[in-house]
Amino acid sequence: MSGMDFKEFHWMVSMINSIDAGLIVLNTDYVVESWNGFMFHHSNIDASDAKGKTIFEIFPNIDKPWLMRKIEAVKTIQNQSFITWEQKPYIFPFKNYRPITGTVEYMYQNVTILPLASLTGTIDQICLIVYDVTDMATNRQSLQKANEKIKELTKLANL
Amino acid sequence: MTIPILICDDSSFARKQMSRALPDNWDVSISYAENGEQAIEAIKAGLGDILFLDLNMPILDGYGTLEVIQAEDLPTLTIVVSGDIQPNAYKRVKSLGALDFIKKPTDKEKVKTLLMNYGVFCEEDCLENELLQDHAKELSDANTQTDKALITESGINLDPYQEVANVAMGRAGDLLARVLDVKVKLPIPKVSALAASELHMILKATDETSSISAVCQGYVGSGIAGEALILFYDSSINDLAKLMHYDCEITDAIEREMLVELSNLLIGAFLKGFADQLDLSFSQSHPELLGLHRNINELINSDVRSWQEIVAIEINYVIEDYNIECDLIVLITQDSLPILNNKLIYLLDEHTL
Repeated sequence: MSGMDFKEFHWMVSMINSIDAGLIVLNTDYVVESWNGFMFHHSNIDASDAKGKTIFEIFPNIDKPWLMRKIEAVKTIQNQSFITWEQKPYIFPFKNYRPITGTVEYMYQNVTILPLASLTGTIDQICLIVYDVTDMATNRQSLQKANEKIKELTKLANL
Repeated sequence: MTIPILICDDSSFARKQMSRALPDNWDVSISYAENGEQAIEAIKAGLGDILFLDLNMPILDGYGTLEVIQAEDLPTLTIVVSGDIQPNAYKRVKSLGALDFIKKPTDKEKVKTLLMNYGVFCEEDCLENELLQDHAKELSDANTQTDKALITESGINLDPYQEVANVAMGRAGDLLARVLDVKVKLPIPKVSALAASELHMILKATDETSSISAVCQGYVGSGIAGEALILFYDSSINDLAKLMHYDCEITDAIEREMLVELSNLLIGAFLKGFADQLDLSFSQSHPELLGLHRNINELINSDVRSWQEIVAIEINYVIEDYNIECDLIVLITQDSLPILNNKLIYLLDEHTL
C-alpha cells in the first residue's frame, strides 16, 4: 500500500463506513466485494456475510435481468448510469429511515451505477451508490396531489 | 476496450506525427515517453500494451529498450518506428523481439494495415470509423457551406466545440450501437450560441406539445458546468419499447423507465466522449424527468438567472430500422467557456502540431 499509510487507510475506511449513503462494490460476476455501514445497518446483513455472495442471492427480489442489463451497459459505455425513484421506488427493500414518524413504509432510493476502472483501464468492478430520497419523493408526491386538488377546486369554483 | 498505447521518441514532432498516424477514432489511450527509460516505466505502469519505439534516443536508445523488455519479459507489443531501416538493423530489432518496423515519416494507411495484420486493430474497432465515414462526406459538405469560422457575437470561436462534439458523437454512436445492437444514424452536431430566451422556447415546446417528453441532467467538473437535455418524441414510444425489449403493456412507469434509460445511454456516452478528449471527468446529477412532477412553465418563469450566452450542442439521433427520433442538447454555461476555450486550444494545438 505505497503512498497511503495505515492511519490514512483507517480514516478513509471509517468515512466510507459511516457515510449516509449505501456503497457496494461488485465484481464482474455480481459478487459483493465491499459493503459499507449504511448497507449493513439498513439490511441487517453484515459485510462479512454479504461478501462472496452475489447481490441477487442477498436480495432475491431484485429484478435480475433488469439490473444486469443496466450494469452491462455501464461496462460498455464506461460512464455512470442512474436509477431514479421515479422509475422504481426502491431497489433494496429497506424500511423507512424514520420508522415511527415516516409516512411511507419503504425507503425511496436513487441509485448510481459507477464503473470502477482498474489500473489497466478495464472495468473489473462496479460500484453501486444508494441514496435515501424518501423525503424528497414523498414531498414531491404530496405537492403533486395538492396541485391536482387545487386544479379540481378551481374548476368547481368556476362553475 | 481502450488500448493503452505508448509512443516513445525524443522528438516531440515525431511523437505528434505518430499519434496522428494512428487509425481515426480508434479506442486507445496514448502516452508519450522521451527516451527508453521513461518508456520502460510507462510499460510497467500499464500504459503501453502497444509501444511505438524510435531507435535513436538519448539515455536509453531503442535497442537498449528492446533488450530490457525482452530480459524482463514486459507485457508490450513493440513496433519500431525509424527513419533509416537497414537490413541489419531490421534483423537486430526482430531478434530483440520487435513485432515489426514502420519507416518514418509514418503513413496512416501503412500503420492501419500493419495493426490489422497483427490483429491489434480489428473490425469491431472499425465500427465507429465506418459510421463516421458514412457521414464524413456530409460533414465536409457542411464545412464548405459554413466556410467562415463559427464565431459568436461575443467572440467565442465555436469551431473547436464542433470538432470535439463530432468526435464525442462518433464515439457515442459506436457505444450505442453496441449496447442496443442497432445501427445509429449519426448526424452533424449543431453547435450554436444560445440566448436564454431561445432555451425557454425549446423547453416550452416540450410542455405545450404533450407529445414530447424531456429528461435533464446536470454535469460539473474542472470548472466546466452545464446541463444535458434529452427531448424524446412520444410517437416513437412503441418502437422504443421494442428496442429495449419491453414486451409488456406500456404503463407510465415503463415509459419513465425507458426515458431514463435512454438518457443514461445518450447523455452518458456523449459526456464520456466529450470529457475524455479534454482529459477531465464530470460529476453528473441524477436525471430529472421534466414536466412529470413539475410544470415546465413554472420552471422557466421561476428562473431569474439571466444566462447571457450559453453554448448548445444539439444532436438529432435517429435509430435506423426503428422509428425512433430524439434530440440530445448539451448546454454549457457562460462561466465555463473561458476554461473550456483554454482546454480546446491546447487540444487543437496538439493535433495540428
